Amino acid sequence: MKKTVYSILIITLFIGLGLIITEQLTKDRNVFKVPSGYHKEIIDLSDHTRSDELLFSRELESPSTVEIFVQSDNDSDKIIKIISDSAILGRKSNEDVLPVKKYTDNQYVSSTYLFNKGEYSVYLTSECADGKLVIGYRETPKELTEYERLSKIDKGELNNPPEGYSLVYSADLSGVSYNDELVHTLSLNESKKIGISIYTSSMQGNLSVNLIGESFGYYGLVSPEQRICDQLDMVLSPGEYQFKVDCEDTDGQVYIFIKQ
Amino acid sequence: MKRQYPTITQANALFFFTAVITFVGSIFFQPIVGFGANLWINEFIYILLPPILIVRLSKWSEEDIFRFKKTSVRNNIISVFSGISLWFFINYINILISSFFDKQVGTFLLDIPDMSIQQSLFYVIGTVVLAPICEEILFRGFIQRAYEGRFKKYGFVITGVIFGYLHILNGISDVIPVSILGIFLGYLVYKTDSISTSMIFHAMTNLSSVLFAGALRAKVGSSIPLWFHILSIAGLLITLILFKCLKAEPKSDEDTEAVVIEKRVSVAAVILLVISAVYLTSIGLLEVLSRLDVI
Repeated sequence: MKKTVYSILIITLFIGLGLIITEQLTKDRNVFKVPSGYHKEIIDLSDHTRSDELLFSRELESPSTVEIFVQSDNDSDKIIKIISDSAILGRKSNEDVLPVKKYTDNQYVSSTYLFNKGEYSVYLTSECADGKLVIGYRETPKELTEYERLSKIDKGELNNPPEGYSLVYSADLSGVSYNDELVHTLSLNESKKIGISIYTSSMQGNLSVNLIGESFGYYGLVSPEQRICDQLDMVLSPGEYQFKVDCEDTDGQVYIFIKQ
Repeated sequence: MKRQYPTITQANALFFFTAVITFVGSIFFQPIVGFGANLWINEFIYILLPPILIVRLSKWSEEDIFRFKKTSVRNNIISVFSGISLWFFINYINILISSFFDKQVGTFLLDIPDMSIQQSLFYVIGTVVLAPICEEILFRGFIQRAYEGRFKKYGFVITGVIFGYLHILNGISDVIPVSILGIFLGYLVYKTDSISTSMIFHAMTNLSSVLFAGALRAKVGSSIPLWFHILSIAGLLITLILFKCLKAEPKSDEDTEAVVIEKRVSVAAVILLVISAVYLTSIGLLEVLSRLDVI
C-alpha cells in the first residue's frame, strides 16, 4: 500500500511538472486577450518615459459608445487618460482616468463611454520599464434617438428606459444613508439573458449600486462618477440576485430597470 | 522502551506549523504560481512533507504510523459509496451555514481568479488526488495516531475537529461540515486500521464536490427546496448504514498498547492547541469583519 501511495504521488508530481511547462509555453505566446472586434494599439513601455503622451486620437462622425480595454504585462503604475471634445454622458467632465498595473490573461481594465460626435484622444503616463501595454477600443454608433434618450438621462430625466425595460426600483436618495440596502431581488428558475439599466442623477457623495449573485458580484454599476449603466446584458444562471445600494451624502435619484 | 508513535505535543506542534505555513505561504505563492498550483505546494510541501520527515528522522515505521495497510475489498467499496453519499449531507450543512452568515452578517466573496486550463487541472487533481493522500497522511496518519495514544476510543473525534478547524482558511462555513467529514474519516481509519479507506472516502467526497457543487448550488438557489433537505438527510443515513457494514480489522497496535498510552496530555500540547485555535479564529474574525464591511 505504501508503494501504491508513493507511486501515485510521484506520477502526480510528473503531471504537475508537465502542467507547469505547458502553462509557461502558452503564457509566453500571448498574455494579452483583447476581445475580437476591438482595434488594437500596442505600446512598448521600454523605449522612453511618458507623461500624458498622446497615443491616438479618433474622430467620431456620430454619437457613439466607445469601449476601452487595457492590459499590460508590466507591474509599474501607469495612467491612461481619455479626453473628449464634448461632454461624456453620465460623467462629471469630458475627461476620465484609468489606472493600470499588471493585468494579463483574464485580468484587464475596461470602461465604456458615451461620446457625442467629435474627437476623443487617449494619453499615457508611464515610466520607462520592460513590458508592453495594449489598448483595445471599439466604437459603436448610437442612433440619434438613443443618444437623445441618454442625454435626457444625463440631464436628470431618469425615467427614460430603453424599449422593453420595466422599472423595478426608484428612490430619491437625498439625505438617505444606506449600507448594503437590499432594494430589489431577482429570482430566476432557469438560465436567462437579462438586460439591466441603472441611472442616477447623484453628482456628489458616495453612491454605489451593486448586483450580488450567489457566485459573483458587480460592484459600482453606477456612482456619481459614472451615472449611467445602460443596457448591460448578462446571462444569469438560476438563483437569486440582489440589487443593493450603498449611499451617503448623495443628492439625487436612482432608477433600476430590468428586461427579462 | 523507545516510543514508537508521535506524542500529542508533536502532533499539535505540527498542526500549528501547518496552519501558519499554509496561510502565509499561500499569500506569498498564490499570486506568483496561480490558485491551482498553490494548492499543490500546500499539499506536497506543508502538509505531506513534515509528517513524513518526522517519521523517517525518528526511525518510526511508516506502515504503523500512517497505517499503510491493505483492507478488505468490501471496506474499500463502502468507502467509495459512503464518501459520495456523505458529501450531499456536508454540502447541505455548508449551504445552510453560509446562507446564515450571508443573511445575518453579510456576504463574503473569495477572490478566486479566472483560471487557465492548466490551473484548473492543477486544482482538480490537487483536490481529488493530492488532498486525500496528503491530508490523510497528516491527520488520520500522524495526528490521529498521536491522539489515539491518549484517547484510544475517541482520538478520531478530536482529530476530526482539528481537521475541520484548519479549513477555516477556506471560509468559516467550512468548519462544521469539514469537522463532520473529519470525524467520519477518522472513524473509518479507527475501524478498518487502514488509511486506504479514508483516502478513498476523502477522494470521493472531493470528487463529488468538483462534479456536483456548482450545479447543485445553482439548482437550489437561496431558498432550499424540500427535495434538497430529503436528499441530504438520505445521504447521511446511507453513509451511516454503509458504515454499519464495515468489516472491523484487528488493530496492529493492540499488543503494543503499553508503549503508546500517554498518561496525560502535556501543558505544551495544550498551549500549542490553544495558540493554533486563537490563530485560526483570528483568521475567521477577519472574514467576519470583511462580511461586515469593516475591512
